[in-house]
Amino acid sequence: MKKEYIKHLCIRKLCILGVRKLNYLRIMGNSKLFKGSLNTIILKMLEEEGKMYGYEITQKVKELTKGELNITEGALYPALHKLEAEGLLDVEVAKVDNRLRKYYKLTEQGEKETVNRLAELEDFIRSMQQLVNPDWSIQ
Amino acid sequence: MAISKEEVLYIDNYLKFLGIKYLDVRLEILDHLASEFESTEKQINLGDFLRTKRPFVKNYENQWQKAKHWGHQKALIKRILGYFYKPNQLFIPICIGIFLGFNTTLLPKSLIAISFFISLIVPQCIHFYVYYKPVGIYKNIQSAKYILSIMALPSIFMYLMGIMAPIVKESPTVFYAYWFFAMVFNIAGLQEVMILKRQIVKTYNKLISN
Repeated sequence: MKKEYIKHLCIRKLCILGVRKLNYLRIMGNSKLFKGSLNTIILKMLEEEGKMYGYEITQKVKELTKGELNITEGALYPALHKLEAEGLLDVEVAKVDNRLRKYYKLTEQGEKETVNRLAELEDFIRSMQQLVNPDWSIQ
Repeated sequence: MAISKEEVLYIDNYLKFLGIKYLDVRLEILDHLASEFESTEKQINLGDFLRTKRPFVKNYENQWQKAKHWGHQKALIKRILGYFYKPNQLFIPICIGIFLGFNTTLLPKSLIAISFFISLIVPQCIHFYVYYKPVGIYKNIQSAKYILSIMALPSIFMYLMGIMAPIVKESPTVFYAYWFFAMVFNIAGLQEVMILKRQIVKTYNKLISN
């Protein structure tokens, strides 16, 4: 009886670990796919919202993807700074509550670049769909 | 739950303790940490929370420097290339060409050498002046460091002169080509420096005066 109970516990533990591992892999896999599109995602967010701060972007992306995509601060800020240095983003510092906050918004060049990058991404998705599942491809 | 003034000060001191010296870098990390702490639903001690964020804080400055450095170098190269294909910027290489033509035809050899060195030294002096004025800009703002890094590539023409001298002395064509590209790089660098300085002053004017 005791042996069976231990066996049952072990199987249960393994199942939990397995599900966790699968979830981890699923998230990691998605992250890798999303990684190449991170700059485009940021530009798109800013195009829609006007101006946003770093933490707000991570939360908005999480909300829109229902938790599927979690942009870490370690990935977000280098991307934001690169886009800023390339002249695609403009920065504004404002006092909010009891601290200063850095807002990012698109420059004129950034607006043009967003349109180009979204078109590129759309083409990529269309090509991928044609490759992976021709029946579902966007017409 | 909104974070109190004392807690903001605590985060600020923690960042100073971790070596985040510049205000423009600190303000963004501070706001991120404060926003995340405010949105955590669990009751957590601020000190414990900050300890979990230590790797992010430690990496932030390095990643910032890397992203910014390459971003500015890319912008500089883009500007230089733009001189040769953008119709509204073509006048810059044309003006440099006219200047070099004027030097060749009107100036004696000794004055050409002086003119060459002045044309390379003046942009370097201007960018140092831009970097050190006003004082608060290089003391408080990390972004201002890139004023120096932008001009690193154009300054190579000055430092390479020692190696290039024998080749340049033998062939006037190589000398004028060298001079032409040195001026193109320096003018493009100065333009980037001015744009960056304007941006810094506009964005961080509150921090510069601190």
